[in-house]
Amino acid sequence: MLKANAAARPGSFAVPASAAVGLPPGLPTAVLQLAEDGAISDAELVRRTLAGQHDPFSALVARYQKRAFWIAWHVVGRVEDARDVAQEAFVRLFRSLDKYDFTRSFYTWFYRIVMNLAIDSLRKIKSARGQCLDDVLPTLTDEREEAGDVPLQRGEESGQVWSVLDKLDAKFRAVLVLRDIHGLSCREIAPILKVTHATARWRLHRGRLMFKEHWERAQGGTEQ
Amino acid sequence: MSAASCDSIRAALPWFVGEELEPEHLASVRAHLVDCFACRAEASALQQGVSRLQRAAAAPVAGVDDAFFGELHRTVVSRVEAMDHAEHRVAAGSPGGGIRAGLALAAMALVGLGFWLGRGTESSIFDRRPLATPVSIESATGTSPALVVPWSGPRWPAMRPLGNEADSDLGGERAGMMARDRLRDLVDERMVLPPRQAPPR
Ligand SMILES: [Zn+2]
Repeated sequence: MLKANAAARPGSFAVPASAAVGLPPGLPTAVLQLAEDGAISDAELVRRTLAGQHDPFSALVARYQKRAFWIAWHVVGRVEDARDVAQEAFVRLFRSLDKYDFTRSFYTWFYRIVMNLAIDSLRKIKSARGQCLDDVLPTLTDEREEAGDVPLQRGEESGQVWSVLDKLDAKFRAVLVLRDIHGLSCREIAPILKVTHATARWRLHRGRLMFKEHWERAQGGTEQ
Repeated sequence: MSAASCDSIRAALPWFVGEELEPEHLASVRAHLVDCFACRAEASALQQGVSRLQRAAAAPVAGVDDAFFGELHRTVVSRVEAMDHAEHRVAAGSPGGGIRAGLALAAMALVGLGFWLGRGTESSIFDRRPLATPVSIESATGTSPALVVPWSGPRWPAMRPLGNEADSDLGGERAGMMARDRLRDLVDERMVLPPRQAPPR
């Protein structure tokens, strides 16, 4: 089967193995210890940051920067834009830490910031291309590769996958990314996208169907 | 197998392939797929879509490695720390306070500059001898160097051209006489006559 209860843990997601896990190199010892210490929750790091310490926030960045980057990259599809989204997400997180509701999970809250920024970025990119989000156009990936924005190492299938994903509306793409790539459940996705659980489930349903249809159309060469 | 049954099963397939189907529907979908080739093919296509997405996401991305994330971490932390420092300065009244402090410093500098311009041969404002007693205008015209008024205001009477451009056209001795007259007027104005009152508005 696809993934056994991957949804229960926000850490189990499908990203390049070389960069999926682990903390960034070169962390100061104090930050590394905080980031690695499983007994120190995200909420505790938030608390310490609010108390005026810098290292706990640095540890939060270390814990979440890869997830933030990959979520952004899977939505926007360009390294530079995804990096900008991740950076901005942490800046906004820092600015709004005092609004954090300690009764809610930290990552849900943070992923919402990331996803909102990523979707905004995607819309800007598509708007700059002069394309509607629902346009059925075949060659977005080719354009990006020519512009040097997307690495060619993705391989042919990967390129086709992102090309097909590009054809989906951002709201369906977001659910597919969070569920099928990052392994979140629809119950976790709903608050991230600020929708009901039923809506998250419906978008997932529609998203998978649309992805299959666009894929088959692309493979059949019957582009409209 | 009825068409209606296939429709209802297909409606459930996108969730079935992601293991999101409610347990009470799971058994019926499985049972249907065992017997229905068309629905099985549909389920397979949906499942392959999810697998493709996961494979694509797991493919390496050029330039995104540990060094990339190390740099990302440094950038984020330095941005946030700079922002935090700036906000602390704001909280302490510093950009506003900094401007005020800057203005105060500038004012002090102007006062100091005035002293500097008004000084005699002293090398520093601190070298200036304090005036023990008030100095009258008359005594300032005397010969004792100790009685020279340390004028700290603008020195425009001395720095101002003694004639204007039209005067200078006269040239020679007349220009010099006008200059002397002008100088006397200025001296009279500033040192002998009482200060001018501002005209009533
Ligand atoms: Zn069937």
